[in-house]
Amino acid sequence: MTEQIVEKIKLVEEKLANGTPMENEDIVFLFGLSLLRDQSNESE
Amino acid sequence: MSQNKRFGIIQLTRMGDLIQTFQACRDFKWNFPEVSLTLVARKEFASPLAAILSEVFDEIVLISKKDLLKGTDQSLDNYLEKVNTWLAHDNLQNIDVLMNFSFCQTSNYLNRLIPATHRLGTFIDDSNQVSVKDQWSQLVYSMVMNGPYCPFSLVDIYKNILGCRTDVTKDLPPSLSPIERDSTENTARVLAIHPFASSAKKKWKSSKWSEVIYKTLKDNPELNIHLFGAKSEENESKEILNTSTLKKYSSRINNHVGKLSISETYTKLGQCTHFIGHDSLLGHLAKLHQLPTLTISLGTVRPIETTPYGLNSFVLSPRTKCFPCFPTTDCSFFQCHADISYQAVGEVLNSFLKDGPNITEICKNVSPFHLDSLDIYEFAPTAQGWFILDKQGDGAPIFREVVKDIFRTALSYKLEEVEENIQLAPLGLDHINRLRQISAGIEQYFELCEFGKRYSRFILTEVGKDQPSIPDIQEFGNKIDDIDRLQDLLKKTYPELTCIIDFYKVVKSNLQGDNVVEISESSYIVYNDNGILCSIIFDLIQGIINKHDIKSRKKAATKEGSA
Repeated sequence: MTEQIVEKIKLVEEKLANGTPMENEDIVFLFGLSLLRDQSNESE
Repeated sequence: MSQNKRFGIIQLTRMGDLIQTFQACRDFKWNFPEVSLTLVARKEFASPLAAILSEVFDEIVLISKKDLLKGTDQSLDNYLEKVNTWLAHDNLQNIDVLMNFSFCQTSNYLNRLIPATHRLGTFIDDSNQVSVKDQWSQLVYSMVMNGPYCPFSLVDIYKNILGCRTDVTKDLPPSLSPIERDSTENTARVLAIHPFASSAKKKWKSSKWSEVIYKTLKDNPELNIHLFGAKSEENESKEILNTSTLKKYSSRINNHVGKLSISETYTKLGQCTHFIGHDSLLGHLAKLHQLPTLTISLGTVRPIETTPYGLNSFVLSPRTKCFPCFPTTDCSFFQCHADISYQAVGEVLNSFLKDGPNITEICKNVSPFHLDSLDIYEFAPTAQGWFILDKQGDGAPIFREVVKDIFRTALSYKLEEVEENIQLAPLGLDHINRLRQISAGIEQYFELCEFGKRYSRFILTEVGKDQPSIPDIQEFGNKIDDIDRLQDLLKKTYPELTCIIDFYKVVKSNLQGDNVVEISESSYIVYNDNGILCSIIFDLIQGIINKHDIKSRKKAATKEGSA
């Protein structure tokens, strides 16, 4: 999954750099990514 | 408010925050029973509290990273498909007002993705930047997250975001209703203790708790103690209890550490009469049972923000200069722990168990050596029904609390047109001189706001001309950037003003408008608003200084007369 995520991040960053408005699927990806990165410990 | 509205609340942080959210929503629901409330929370935090949360929330939508990853074969597409399915949850549709109470990145995205007519709190905009439009959330974003000067309880802030106001002259909401105990019920005191917290900075070492428990049981022969804690805190509980001095009291100590679930703990807390502990979930749970609580605030804890919300809440807080610190602050000495001695806590606890801490009685029994390094506060409601930390005793408050009271008065008026009549204890010359310095900073800040207004107006005038000069508009825009940079410099000279400057920085970075005219108009309004806040703070400070000066002159005149 890591490779797919890196690739998708590049695409979203490109969009942001070009000033292209983000689409809903980009926000869903960033939300999903943020959830994965979240340090809130699920085992607590 | 019209009927059948649906409000959504995003609260992805821990259980303590969930209970504070619950308390705000309970008061809101009491005011507006017709509004349906949907809570979005993490499964691992909300599930153990489901029985409590469902008393107020009509629907609870749970999110779990584990569940979303289950069976995705490590494929991003599968994972995102599951995320999309979760977002399509029936209870996440047709929300009228969606509010983000957790202010974290994940919740910011969620506050963008869940469809809603209105959004409050932080959310992600089209450029992947954090945006926040309502003033109370702007206050959280600038003050709660950035330093020790936030003058409001988090529950009160949540209530204000929800639009829930209390008229204390009318019926009282649950959080303000005094407890009605059955006169026939057993009056034997049972003390609940939770001597743990989520980080070392926020909790005492075990040995100090052993001393407090020993003194309390020795001085109160009828008292029984219930010790609470999680499985991970079992070893610490053994350190506390396995001391030779406590052996003879073992029959009066009920050790539940590691043995009870959250819901069992909650039920057991209901059988107790008092609670003492550090800042943690259990204090909030105890308050749901309306137990009198005594919180020992240490390390990163900001007492006004997280003290158990309700009547009969007391706080012991160190007067240590670096308190409260940040989670990232490197500290191995824990001076704030040393500044609250077990001798002082033992005596305050004795008094608390009788009928609330009585300062006169405490001062008789404990040396000033132990009391001078801490403050005792009662968390009490003001006329508006918002809670404030009311310092007990006649001693001068620490300077930070004076500044917070001034900010609170000014912000209450600015945000809600509410006049909070906070009585400040007489201040010493040192505090007055520091207020004079801050007053000079406020004057400079006001001047900058005036310049900001002027250049915003110049832009509007230029744009209104038949042939506006683009270089002139750019130059005025640059001047406004200079003003913002100077405001940042002001923070270095007057660090106490940081939270106010940051608050308006957040307001300014969320200006309304789609073009130069609209943005310049908004910019003018923000500088004007900011200037008004400066004037209020300046007047409040001058009032305090003048009062002090008149008193000093009278004192000097009396001295001269008697000479």
